[in-house]
Amino acid sequence: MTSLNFDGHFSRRGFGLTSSMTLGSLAVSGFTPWSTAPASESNGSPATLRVPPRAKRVIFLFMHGGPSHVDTFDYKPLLARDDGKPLPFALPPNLNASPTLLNGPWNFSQRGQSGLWVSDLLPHMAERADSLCVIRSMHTKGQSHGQAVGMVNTGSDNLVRPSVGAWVSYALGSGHPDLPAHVAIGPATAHGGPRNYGAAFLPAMHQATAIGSNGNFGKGIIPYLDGIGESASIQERFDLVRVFNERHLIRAGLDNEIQGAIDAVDLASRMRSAAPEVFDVERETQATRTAYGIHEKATRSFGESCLLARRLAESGVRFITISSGQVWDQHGNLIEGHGKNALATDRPIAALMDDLKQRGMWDDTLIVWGGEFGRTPVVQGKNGRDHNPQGFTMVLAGGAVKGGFAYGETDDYGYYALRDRVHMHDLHATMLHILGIDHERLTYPYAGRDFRLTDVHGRVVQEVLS
Amino acid sequence: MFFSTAAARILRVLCVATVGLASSAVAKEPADSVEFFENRIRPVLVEHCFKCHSVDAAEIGGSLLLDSSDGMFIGGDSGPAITPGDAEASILVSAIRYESSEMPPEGKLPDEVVDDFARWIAAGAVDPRKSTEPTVRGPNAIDLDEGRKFWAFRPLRLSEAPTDPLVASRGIIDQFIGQALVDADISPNSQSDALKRLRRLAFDLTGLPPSVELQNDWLADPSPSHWIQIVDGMLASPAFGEHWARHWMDIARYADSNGSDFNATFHEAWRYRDYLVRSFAADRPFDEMIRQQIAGDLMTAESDAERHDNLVASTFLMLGTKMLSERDKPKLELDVVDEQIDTIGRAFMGLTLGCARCHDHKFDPVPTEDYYALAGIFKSTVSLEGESQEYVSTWQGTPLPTSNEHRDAIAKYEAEKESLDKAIKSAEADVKQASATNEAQHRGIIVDDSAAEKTGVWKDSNYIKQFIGTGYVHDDNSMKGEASIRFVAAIPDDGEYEVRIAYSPGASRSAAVPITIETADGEENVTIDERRVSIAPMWGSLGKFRFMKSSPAVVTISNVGTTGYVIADAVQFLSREETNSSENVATGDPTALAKAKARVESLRNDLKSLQSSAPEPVPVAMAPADRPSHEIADSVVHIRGDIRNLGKSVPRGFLRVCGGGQATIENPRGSGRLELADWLTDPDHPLVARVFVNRVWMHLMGEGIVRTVDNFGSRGELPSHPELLDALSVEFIRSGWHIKPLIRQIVCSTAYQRSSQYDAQKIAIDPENRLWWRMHRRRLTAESIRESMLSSAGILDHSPAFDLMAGQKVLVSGNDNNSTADQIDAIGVPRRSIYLPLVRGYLSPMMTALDAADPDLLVGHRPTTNVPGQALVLINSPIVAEWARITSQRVVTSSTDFEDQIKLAYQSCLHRLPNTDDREIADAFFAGDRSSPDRWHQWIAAMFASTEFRLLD
Repeated sequence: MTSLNFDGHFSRRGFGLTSSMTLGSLAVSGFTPWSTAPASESNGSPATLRVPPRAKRVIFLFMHGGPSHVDTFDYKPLLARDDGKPLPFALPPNLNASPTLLNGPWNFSQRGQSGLWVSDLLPHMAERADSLCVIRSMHTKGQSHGQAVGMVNTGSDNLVRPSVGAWVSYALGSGHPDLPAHVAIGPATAHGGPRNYGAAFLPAMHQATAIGSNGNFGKGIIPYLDGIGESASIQERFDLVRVFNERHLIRAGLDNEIQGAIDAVDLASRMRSAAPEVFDVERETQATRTAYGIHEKATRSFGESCLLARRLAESGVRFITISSGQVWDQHGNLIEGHGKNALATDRPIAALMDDLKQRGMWDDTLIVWGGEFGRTPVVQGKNGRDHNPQGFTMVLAGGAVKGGFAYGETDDYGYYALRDRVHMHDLHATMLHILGIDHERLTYPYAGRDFRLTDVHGRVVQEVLS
Repeated sequence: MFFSTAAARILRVLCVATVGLASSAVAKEPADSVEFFENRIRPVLVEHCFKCHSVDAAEIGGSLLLDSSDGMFIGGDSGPAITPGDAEASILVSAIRYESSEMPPEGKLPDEVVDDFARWIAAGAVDPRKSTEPTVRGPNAIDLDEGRKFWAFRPLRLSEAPTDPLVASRGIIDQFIGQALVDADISPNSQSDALKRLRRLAFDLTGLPPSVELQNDWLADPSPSHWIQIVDGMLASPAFGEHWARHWMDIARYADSNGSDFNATFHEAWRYRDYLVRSFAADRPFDEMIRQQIAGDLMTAESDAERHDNLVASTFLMLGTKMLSERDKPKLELDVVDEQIDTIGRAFMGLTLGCARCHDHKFDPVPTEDYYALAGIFKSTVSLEGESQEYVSTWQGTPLPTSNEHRDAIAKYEAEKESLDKAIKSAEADVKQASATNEAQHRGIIVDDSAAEKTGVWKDSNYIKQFIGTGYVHDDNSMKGEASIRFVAAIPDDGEYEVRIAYSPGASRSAAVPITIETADGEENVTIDERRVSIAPMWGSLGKFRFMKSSPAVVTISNVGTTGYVIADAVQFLSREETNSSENVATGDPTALAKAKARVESLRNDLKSLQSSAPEPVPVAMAPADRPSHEIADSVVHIRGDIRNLGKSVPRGFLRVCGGGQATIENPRGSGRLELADWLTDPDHPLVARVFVNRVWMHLMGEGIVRTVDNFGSRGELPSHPELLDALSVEFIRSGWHIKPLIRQIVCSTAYQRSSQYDAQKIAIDPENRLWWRMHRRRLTAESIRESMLSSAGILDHSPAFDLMAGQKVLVSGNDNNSTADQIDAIGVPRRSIYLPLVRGYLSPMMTALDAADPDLLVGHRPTTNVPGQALVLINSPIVAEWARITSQRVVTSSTDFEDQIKLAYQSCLHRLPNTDDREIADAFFAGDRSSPDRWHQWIAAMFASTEFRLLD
């Protein structure tokens, strides 16, 4: 039955399969590992696109460690006035900071048309203040990193739950047939590590494909995309695997598992063609690379990460997290540490904003900037700040949200979120809403019940939507 | 709850400032009047509360209704909302004060409004609303009797097995399965071919492929009796224990580190792993294993070995991932208890008990009280004890029994160490004594550089360790002529004093530092050579001068005209008597000091050598313990799972739905874990044997009789063959909870040996193969895929490995960006996978891609995914390529005959003989190049990545 034709390589199809026995005729119900179709009623997720989507993708700029909101976006004149005086109200429990107010060295001023207050710590983001939507009344669970990092990335401070990106991947699928929906660039190994971009009990394909680690862009490639040896030889191996698998399928009769594996090998092979181009930030013009700060040591890694994020976004990836690495945790050395972190991230972020606008992607991209919590307005040690989940700032940007807008307030010193409080669950609900997903309906059955990203909480913060 | 009460009070003050005054401050109506209610209470209720607390609410919050007077009295999950006459005792008041909870959640009400409510309740809570207005719905009570009717909670039943429904029926498995097939009018597939069956058996029982020799033996005699012989051989092999231990490790969420926020090393977890290997290999009864895992630390033992296993087994309770840095320790404790209850519920009973932490189980008959009956048991158990650093909890450990010789050696070592420690201490005291010279040198009047007036630039330093005060200053060898430092001292008595200056000597110092001394006899100028000292260790004498009480003594050191560094540390003025005594010390004691120091040195060396030959410390198990008896207590219900929201106390006990008998522990012996273990292993427990037998069945037959192996509740699936499950469970219990006979029975059945061949007609009737008309095609475990490659390469090392994490510190990976934990990946070490370290957060990418169990979760049924990452790791990872290379070499060198080489390749990689088709592919692939190592490497690598390699047909 076989008519073999190898010209050094296997031809991919037609080998050993007569026309009456093509795989097409054997094909079983389609199984595409990265479905481009959204989750449907039938697989346990009662349709998700019940609200009109305002954006197609999220780029989460995760400032791991917790940047200080009172030194960036939450201007507190009384903090400047009362520098060195005791905090006039009680501290939350389990805190090391002494209740003495500390004013940071960065001046605040009103920016742009909107007059949004931003400090000098982030001069490039400040210049684009009219495009920023600042939520100054965030609060979350977890006085320590582990819990708060879990909250911002998975909505749970103690239990193993799918990450936000995994939920989005599950709900929307990928916008590119050959690329994953969910990518994490430079994810930290600390504070839960892979759990923060993992799938938990969702199907494994929704876990992020990790690029680099700990805030480092690294080689910026998908693991094992390239094998050792010549590309032609790798392709031949892919082809030979396919031959073996097709034979196996023929012998077995119909089989979903074998068919699925054949599809996966195919997709891997297509990824090998598609990904290198998308992942190659070298293809950008010198001007673009310079705008992202890739030519300078301080900004290179985060610049490359932001540029890759834009390329991925352009190609259809749904959820991209860029992690700064666990660097914003200034219990001491606030000035030096925050200065260094701002230097590394501020300019690449501004370049990303400009780039998205220039390419017409601004309107359907949601940028989220922030840490797992903020920092105390009171001093720790000589010149540091402790963790502050009681009140902090996160920044949204993109067409879906109001620009030059601030929502919510903390108290006079920036300690507790007071007015229009936004819990981390609310932020997640809002992110999903912007992507057209009803956070109360996006569920997955596990261990006897239906789970949600927002558990039993979450309010869409309509007020920030444009 | 984010706020302490104190903080909340402060916030209240702040709220007033932002919210402003919502109502006039002075009430005109008396608080016990209907008007007061109508004007001040009802509008607030309507505006702020009814959205969630009225019969019209979409979902009633906390089961509490506030739209009738009855609703308020009866209350919700937290009890009555108001206590008329006592505002302070009313939950409604503490809730709107943001104390017991934070109501309304959108923002706190103005203080005036809160006060109105307090006053209204204090005055008797006059409420004109008819008590019967809406029907008050209490929390839905679970009907346990109704619940017990569900199949899983009914007692095990022994039904008569149908006799001979099919020709090949032998034993109850084939009788029950055969009857169901006959009923459905499906004729099952025939027996699979011999080598496929052998491969299936080998992987199922040992996790390893059948050797080429075994394949050949079997092919020579594929008889049922030979089958049984092979089965028994495999059951008796060490590999069986390893493979089946790994199955249970999936349930036990086994790992060698904590993962989560602080990735602390589990130095002792491997002992539990080895306990499992030993137990499965020795066919330890499973009820005993349950008792040991739940309460091993409390069980009495007849031997050290038994005590050892008991303790090590209880590590089961400790292995969950924990948020160790949670600063709210009571919350952490409840989280740990929750994880333990959830694990026990799913592992042993197939019940998802975690749901009942916050409310009655929505689907299964598990009331919240039952959850807290169990919680009392685990709250009375210590899992976490102490901290490895501030706020970071660590776990409880218990010393393990050890041999007398070992104990003696430790005792001897400790005695020797103690005496050496003592000797060192005393020698150190001698050194101190001798060093008192320093003290002596510090006599007289000393003025430190920190108290001196400096002109010009002086830099602080403490680089050289001997100095007065906190350091010394130097002129940085620059700005010569511009720096001076002025030491001023008040002299107690008129007279002659020796003046010394302190500095750290060295070659870089100035050889002539000019110094001016203002004496009773006028200014004196001297120079001093700071390259060396005249009085060890740090003094240079300037000479003796006369000073008067009436005017201060001043010494000024300057850097005018100097070359080299000028150092200034302190100036000392010594009276005649002081000079004498200090000189004695300075000249007399260096030898004494040196001697004392030498003795310390030598003793320390002795200690070092003693320590280097120290006996191993007493081994420790990562085992729980009961709390001291005065801390053992029942738990209260935590309303909605909230650590601070307390309900009534529940006596420790079990799930009432399992059996109608006593579910409360009468007189607990300690925490109650012993009683829990007894209850779980009671032969009449409806779930435990069923759940376990179903797991064994799933590992061998591809799916469970209940497919949701971890969920036997109403949200789980119903059993496809309930009578068979019960029959096997009853037999399992009767024959003493032994696992090997159960496995033997299953793999000797006809059903097990059926072909997995597709059949369009049968698929049409039973597409999911629920009736087992064929064998399920199954994925090999990640471990087996890896070990199969190592076996093909002929390099699998079968010897076990032990203490994998011995070299690791408290944290296996730090919480910074420079973790080295990824270097622990031992995937290339050619041992069985069970002996490789499992570090949470750093699982091998290859094993993860092949669906190894995620140790963060209890995994009863591993998912089987088909993602590109899997294809990439199998085709492109360097380690797989390397194993393929070794295999290809082995094949090439085995023979010079191409046919033989191909045969060996198939037998060692796919465990079957090549067929004509395979040969044709090979002929074409190797055309003209049959001895090329690269071609062979390519061929084997493709085989490793093929579906046939990782599937069990």
